[in-house]
Amino acid sequence: MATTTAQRPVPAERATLIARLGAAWQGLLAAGLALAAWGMSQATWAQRDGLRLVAVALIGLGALSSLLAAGLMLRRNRRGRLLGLALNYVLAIGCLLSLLGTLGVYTGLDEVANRFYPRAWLLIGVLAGFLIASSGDRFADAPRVQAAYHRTGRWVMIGSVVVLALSMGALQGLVTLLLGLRQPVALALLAGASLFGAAFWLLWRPQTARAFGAGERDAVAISGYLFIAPNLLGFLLFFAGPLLFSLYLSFTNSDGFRAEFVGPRNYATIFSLEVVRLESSSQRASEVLSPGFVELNRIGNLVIGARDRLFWIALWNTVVYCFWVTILSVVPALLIATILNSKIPGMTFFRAIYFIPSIAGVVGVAVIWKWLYNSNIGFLNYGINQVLGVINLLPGVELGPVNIPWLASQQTALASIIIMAAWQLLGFNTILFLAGLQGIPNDVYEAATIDGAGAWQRFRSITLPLLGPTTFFVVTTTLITTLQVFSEPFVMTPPPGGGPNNATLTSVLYLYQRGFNRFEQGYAAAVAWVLFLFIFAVTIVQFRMQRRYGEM
Amino acid sequence: MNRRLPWMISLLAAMSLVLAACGGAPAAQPTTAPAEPATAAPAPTAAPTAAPTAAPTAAAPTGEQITLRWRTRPDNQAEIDVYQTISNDLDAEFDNVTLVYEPGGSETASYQDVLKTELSAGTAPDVFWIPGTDIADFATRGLILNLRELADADSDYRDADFYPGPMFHLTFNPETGKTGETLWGLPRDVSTFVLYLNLDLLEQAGAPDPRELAREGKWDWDAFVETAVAVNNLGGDIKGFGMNAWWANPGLFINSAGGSFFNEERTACALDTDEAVEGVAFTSRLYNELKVAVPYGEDSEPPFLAGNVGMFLNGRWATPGMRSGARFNWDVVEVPAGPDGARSWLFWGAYVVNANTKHPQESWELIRALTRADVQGKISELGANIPSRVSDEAIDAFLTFTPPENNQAFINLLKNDPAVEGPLWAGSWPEFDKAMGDKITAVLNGDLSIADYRATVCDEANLAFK
Repeated sequence: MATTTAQRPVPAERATLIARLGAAWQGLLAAGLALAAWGMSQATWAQRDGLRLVAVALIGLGALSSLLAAGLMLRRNRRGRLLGLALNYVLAIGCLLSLLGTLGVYTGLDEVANRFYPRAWLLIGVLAGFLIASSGDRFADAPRVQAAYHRTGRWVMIGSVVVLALSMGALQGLVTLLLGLRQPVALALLAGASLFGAAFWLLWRPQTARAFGAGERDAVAISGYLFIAPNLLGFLLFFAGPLLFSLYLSFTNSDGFRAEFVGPRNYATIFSLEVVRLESSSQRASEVLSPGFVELNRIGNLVIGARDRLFWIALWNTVVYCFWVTILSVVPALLIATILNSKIPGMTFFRAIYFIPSIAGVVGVAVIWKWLYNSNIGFLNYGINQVLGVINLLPGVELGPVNIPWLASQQTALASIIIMAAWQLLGFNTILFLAGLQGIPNDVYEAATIDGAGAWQRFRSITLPLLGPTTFFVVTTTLITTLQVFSEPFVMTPPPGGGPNNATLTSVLYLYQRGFNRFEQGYAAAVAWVLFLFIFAVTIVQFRMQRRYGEM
Repeated sequence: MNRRLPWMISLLAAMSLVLAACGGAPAAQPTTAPAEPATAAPAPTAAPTAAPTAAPTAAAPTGEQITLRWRTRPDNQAEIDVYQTISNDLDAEFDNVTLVYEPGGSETASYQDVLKTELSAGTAPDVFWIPGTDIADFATRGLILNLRELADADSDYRDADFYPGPMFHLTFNPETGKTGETLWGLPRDVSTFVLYLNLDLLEQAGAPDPRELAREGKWDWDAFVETAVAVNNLGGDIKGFGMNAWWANPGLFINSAGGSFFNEERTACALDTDEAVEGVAFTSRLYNELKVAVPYGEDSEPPFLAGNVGMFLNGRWATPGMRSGARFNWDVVEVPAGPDGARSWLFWGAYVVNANTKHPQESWELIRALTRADVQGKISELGANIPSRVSDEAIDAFLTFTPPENNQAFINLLKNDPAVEGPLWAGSWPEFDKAMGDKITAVLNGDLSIADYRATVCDEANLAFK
């Protein structure tokens, strides 16, 4: 793919012509995009003002970039060519993807999955063909036999794919595709994809590169960007784009269907707190708090009121959950990893056993634990009562049966979920620690042993310091994972989750409830950004601590 | 082997998949232009005044083949099968219309949340079911069609064919505050709360038969408590009573005490009235003083099905589970009479039409067909609900769908002025539900006294009103 400069130079007149043609195209493109941006700014998109603004801004940016590219090209500046290449590439891909959307390919993918599953066995033909063709390589000394094998294998493979395609309705799809192309929008998109694709190719070819004085470095850079383009576009389209859009949403009152810009009101609501003194402890908080505020907490006669009480409750629960799950899934993991690192027979089996919870789906595990925790028919209370029954056999001991409402009591619900989550994370952390332990050279331990260090001293003075980077990684990933907890309380507590009385309400669950249960996507986006900043701050603190720890 | 061959095969396969996808998009690719969508196009920029309405002239031209997608929230495979059969039968009846039934909801995906996301993305089905409490939210946001014009043009249609409670809300005009002016959908079914009884446990406890007491007019809160205590005294894991953590359950006792969630205008919280508090206090007594109930917040159905609970409060939709899961003698009885009598809930849900449908006339015809007596009969036979039509024939047919033997209990409660499940036109129901649910849960778990409950319950709940 890399173009080469070790070719004869383009005559100056021709180079100038190429540059002017390129500039003219980019200028035309800039004008078209500017017109499109203007048209879009005048159009009314019912309830989609935010999206419209974003689209206008993006198209406007494209127009400006194209204008800049045109100017640079006129001066035969190689950066103009690079910018033109990027713009035409993005537009060609954009047209192509939009065309697929217009033709209904994306909504049809579900149906493709449905049709593919019962016919997947036809792919055996491809495998068979591949094996036949590969077998031919054994007959290198008999070219005709080898060619026959290759030919047979190739046709078996092609035949299998064709049969699969036909049975999945590819022919019908082709007809639909051709009929779909009769739509003006589809035709325009197809023309756009072809035009921008052609412009990209013309700008990319070696002769154009030489006309702009592009060197080997440019060729390498273009090749590199083309390789990462699918991933980069995916990142921009499905991650960075929605991320920025959610930032915009957080400044609106969007309900998912329409949005009005409200400035920082959502953030102000989240952080609205007030502290008021009660005249007596029996006085109602609502009598002294400002309208719209409700009691969050009370210290003596001081009442803390909040406009959004649940946000703070959720944040507190999340912090408590994060703290305990991290402790309970990291410390035991280190101890277990140390044991599993020993050369005792059967350790491989135990390593697998400890890892199993980590590969199980959170929802499935949560459903199972929900049953285990059931106070009436759950195994946990049953097991405890069986143990108590055995203890009661001792003379003078008479312990009554327990009936702990694990998930139904405010006092035990969060702890119950913490235990389950720690159990599930334990195995993964153990494996990470195990990998870290196996990276510590044995001779360090041997030297310490010769110097008279005991097991505990070796662990404290060698294992722990040398496991520092692993520990940092384990703690950081566990913290980030736990701060985003959602599925466990959502599945394990009655709808809409987070009960009893908000005891297991976590930040992500809360933003989900605001966004989806209560049609408040703008507010939910604001909660998400506050949570993001919180996680970011925690991670920064950790990095600093790690750096200091590493320097010690 | 030619190294390009695998690439060529992969490319061929990818192209095939794309082509197959082109032919596989059922609803997104109408081969002909949509029929006069202008009148049905959503213009919901300002709810509720701009709630979309559907004109009766929007039928598809003769010969045009259209696809209508419709969705319900079934609880189990049996229910999915019944709806699929109904869809197939109606599909055969409809000319030029292909019906695609989509069961919605799962263990981890809330039915309404998925629906809202699809509505926002423009990929929701043409017709879907929503619970009665959601009608206001969907209507005021312009997500569902006002079908009044279509109904007026349909000579066979009458609002009075359905129970008046649901129709009050389904014909409510939030702009004028009057009922009878709009039509947001048609009720699919109705249900009342009853007590499911484990007759074996009751007999074992020596408790009188609640069904007999109900017939004699003696089935009241005192008798209910006595029965629950008697069963609970069997000891071990046995509990006298169970109900799930859902607004309707404590709400039943509030209603029976003469209270209500809202004031009469449904514009403010009324949970702190004497009657409403009495209902919560009675419920709290079951949990905290007598300790005869499965902890509030735990699903009571599994322990009931396991034979560990004497009485389980639930609606008709629990019947299929009882039929398949209960391994003991069971039946149902009316809810016990409180100070205001035996006031159950009248639950309902409605078929509504997506505001963005390209086929309002066909969608209307579909929901008319789905609420026909014979179609409702098929669903009722499954045991999950009661027909929403006011019809002696429908009730007579419903009574034959046994077990439970005492189906009459559902009907008795239906006739005894039940409190109608309804949306909150003047506020946010999810917000009110959340505020109320938290406080009641705290009371029933023993974390909040009745006095503190009364003092604070409406502080946050009132914020839900606009």
